Amino acid sequence: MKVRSNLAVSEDGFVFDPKTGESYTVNEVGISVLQHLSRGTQIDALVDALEKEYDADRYTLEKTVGDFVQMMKEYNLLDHE
Amino acid sequence: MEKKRFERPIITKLNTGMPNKIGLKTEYQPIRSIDGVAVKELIENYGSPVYVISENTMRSVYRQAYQAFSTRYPKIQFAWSYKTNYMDAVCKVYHQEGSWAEVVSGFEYDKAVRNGVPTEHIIFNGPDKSIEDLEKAIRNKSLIHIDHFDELYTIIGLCDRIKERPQVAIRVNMDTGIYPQWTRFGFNYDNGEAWDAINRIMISGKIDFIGLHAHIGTYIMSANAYRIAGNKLADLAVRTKAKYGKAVSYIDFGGGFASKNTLKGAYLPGTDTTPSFDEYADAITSSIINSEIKPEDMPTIVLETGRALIDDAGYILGTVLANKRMADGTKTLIIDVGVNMLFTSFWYDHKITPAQDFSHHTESAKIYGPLCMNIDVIREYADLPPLKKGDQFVISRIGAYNMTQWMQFITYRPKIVMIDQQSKVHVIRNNENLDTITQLEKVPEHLKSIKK
Repeated sequence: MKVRSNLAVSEDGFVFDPKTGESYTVNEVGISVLQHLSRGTQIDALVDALEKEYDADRYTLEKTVGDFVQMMKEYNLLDHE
Repeated sequence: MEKKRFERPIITKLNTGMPNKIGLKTEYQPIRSIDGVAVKELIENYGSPVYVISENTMRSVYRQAYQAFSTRYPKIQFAWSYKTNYMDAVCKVYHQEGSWAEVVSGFEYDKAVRNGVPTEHIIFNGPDKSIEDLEKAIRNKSLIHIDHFDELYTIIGLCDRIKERPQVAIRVNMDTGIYPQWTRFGFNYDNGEAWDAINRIMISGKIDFIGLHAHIGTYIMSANAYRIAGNKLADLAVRTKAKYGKAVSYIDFGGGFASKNTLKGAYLPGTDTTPSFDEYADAITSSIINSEIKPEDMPTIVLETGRALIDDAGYILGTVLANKRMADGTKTLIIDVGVNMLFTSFWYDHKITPAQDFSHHTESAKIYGPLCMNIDVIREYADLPPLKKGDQFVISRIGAYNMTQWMQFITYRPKIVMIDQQSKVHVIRNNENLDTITQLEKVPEHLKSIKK
């Protein structure tokens, strides 16, 4: 699972999709998830990384990242594999 | 290395140029404490959810309201509306401030007596007063506000038996230029029914007619409606004096002042649209001062304000139980406060504020209570910072009606605590348990065992 390569993502969480012209905002943790996904990080490794950085249990991280990825799919922001 | 605070990751689509139907972001700061007591500590010590009442806010709002009226008119009397919140501790704060009691049932009447209110300072409103209630109120010289002719004739009948002169006012309804026009309480002014009722009282010779009362509606957003009500009530007072030589001692404007809550469907928040106490006071006092009532006959103005006095002093604190994504993508939050504890969520978009730090990002979410019932919706849509399971929140402006219209349904009702002016927390009503809920039940002998 990878973020579409033509998405423009700014450092402060502004996302532009040139294919549709749609814009999005993401919060701090969302930026971190996007960056990991852009690099091709797998979900398990992504959760490991977040667990080291943030004060949250693994269950919460898995669940909330899962929901975030689901919304990325809804908005067609992920590459079809 | 200390780990960073985690906020659930969110992605929000921007709709450039489109107005946000959910409204503007309203939460900029978390509410971490109330009157110097941490929200986290309140939940730890008293459970979640928990109702919190600020004595300081109660007293300061009451004093603001009293000042708005008393600086404009010499004879002002507030009467605390028991149905708005009849927790004994709450009622006693208002009685300490000088409020009389306004009750609408035998139960509330007995509560007011038990709270130590002098019986001649209890206003007895409402369409349902039993013979026993009326007899008690007549003997105690309480102020009986007559709602309909059947009640009037019952009182006249009781006079012969009790040999006491009841102290009465009539309830008057009228067109005050607002919609909906409330016509169910009392006698109509515009069609002459109210004047007819006064004449029947005066002709009976057995009753002391001492006041006029109107309850023109609830959540009245136009102060001018009270001015019109005042003009009409003053006209009745003048006609009574002219015909019978009897001046009424008080004119009671009932309740109905709006609080700063936002009504469902309202475009602007209640904080921007609700008239101030000064606006209400100006309309009401002007209508009496500028009437034809003679200076020596100026009546006391009585106010039964409930909602506008207590709403801001009440909070309910709770915890997020779960996050869910609906099949259509709608984000939902499930919280431990349901419509059974927050009855007013049926007509208000209550303000919900996280109790912990959050970023500037928000998302729209539908907020459900914990009940296994589809109607248990606290907010259809709210633009909130991303909240996760276990996060705590504060729902503000819930002091009116929720602690009286609440429902014991599915689960127990939680504790109510009051924070006093020294930031000391007092439990003023304990949480329910299985025994408190079932103590009035009786099981027939043949059902005591479930073994066949």
